[in-house]
Amino acid sequence: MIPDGLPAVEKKRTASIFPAFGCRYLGNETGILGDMSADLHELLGRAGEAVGLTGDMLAGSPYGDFSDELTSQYAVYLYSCAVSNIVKRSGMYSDYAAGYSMGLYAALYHAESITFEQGLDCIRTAYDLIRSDASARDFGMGLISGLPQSDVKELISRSKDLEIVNANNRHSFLVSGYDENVRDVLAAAKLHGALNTQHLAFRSPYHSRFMNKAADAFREYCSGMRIYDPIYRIVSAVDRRVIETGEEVLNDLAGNINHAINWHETMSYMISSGVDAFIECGPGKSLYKMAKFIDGDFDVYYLHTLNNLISSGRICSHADALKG
Amino acid sequence: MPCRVSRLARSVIAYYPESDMAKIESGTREEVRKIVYEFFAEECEVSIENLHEGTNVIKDLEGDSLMFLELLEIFKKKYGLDIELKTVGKYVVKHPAETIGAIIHMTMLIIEHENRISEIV
Repeated sequence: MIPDGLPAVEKKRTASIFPAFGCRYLGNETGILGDMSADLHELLGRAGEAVGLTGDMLAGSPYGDFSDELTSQYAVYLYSCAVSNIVKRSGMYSDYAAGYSMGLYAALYHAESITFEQGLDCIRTAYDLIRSDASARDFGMGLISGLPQSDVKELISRSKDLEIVNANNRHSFLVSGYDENVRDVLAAAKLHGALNTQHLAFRSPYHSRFMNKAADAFREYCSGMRIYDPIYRIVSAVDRRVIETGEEVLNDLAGNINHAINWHETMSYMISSGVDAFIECGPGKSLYKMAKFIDGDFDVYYLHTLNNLISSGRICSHADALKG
Repeated sequence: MPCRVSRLARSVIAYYPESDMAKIESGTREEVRKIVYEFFAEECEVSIENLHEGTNVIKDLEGDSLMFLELLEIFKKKYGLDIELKTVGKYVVKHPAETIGAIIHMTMLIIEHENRISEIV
């Protein structure tokens, strides 16, 4: 209740966004989350039972530099789900939720479309299927920053296997394909004037057409799962559709395996829909950094700054959302 | 610490009114220096007193190329520079700038030469 004479506090329109593995952690996520709630501890226990993830594994890679891709995916999912619990318990309503690449699983957990354990199962199954498909050749992924997309398209057109599999923002693009060609295009991009290129330590061409078979098998796997209609609107990073039913979730889970995503457009969609506060639910602040080169008047809060938003009094609660 | 996207960019431009043309004026170097120091202090969440010309942005501050891109955009807007990022990229390949001092020096060159920076050997 707002006392008479005081102006109403304008509520933020909020979206919860979920990072993927491979992001650099702040280094003190376990401590921050442990101080905020027991969620991380409780979820870690469940992840230990389900997939064998342990606190020692997390402690061994405080900055997220896991040597094993699958463990790295479990870890980012675990942290993301722990933040999700805190966000929801603080009363914050999410007008939208979206996941960057495999951040989709945590977004679906946040929206109560799948359970925590189902998310772990999805990660393991998708990983196994993708590795099975990708084992025949050496695949790779690379990041090109500082060139316009048209220049990146021109550069990759020299190799038919290469694809832009994500636009992070107006300056940063992920390419995927045969590893030797990825390395060649990164070198060419550097000569062309890219401010930075980075060969990523991923062995699979995520989000590329090479994953078609894996996507079909993953759809079949997911179709056997009980998927609930999400309680928050999920924005697809694949095609920016707003996902509101379990059937649409299933389509996005499969499409996320073998289709390019576009994070820039995903964020832009939510911004154009009125979102002015994003909560990065996960370790590190990779999505916060990417958002610096996405146009719009908005804030991105990450783990270090989440309390600023909670204490601002400008968060929209579930009760506010019900009132419309 | 506030984390408003581009807040620093906006505050810098508001604090230092935009110049009409890209040219080196007296005090420009000091202005650039101040912006660079404030930028890295805020972005890397370190005290400005702990920064110096020899601070390596990558190794000491765990900075990244996106920070450099953001800094470039700040200066492009502030000085109305006609400069393509890839021109800067080509220059950086030949003249890597990893310390705060080197970044200030390169920024001064960009302000002075704009796209002609590619002609500098």
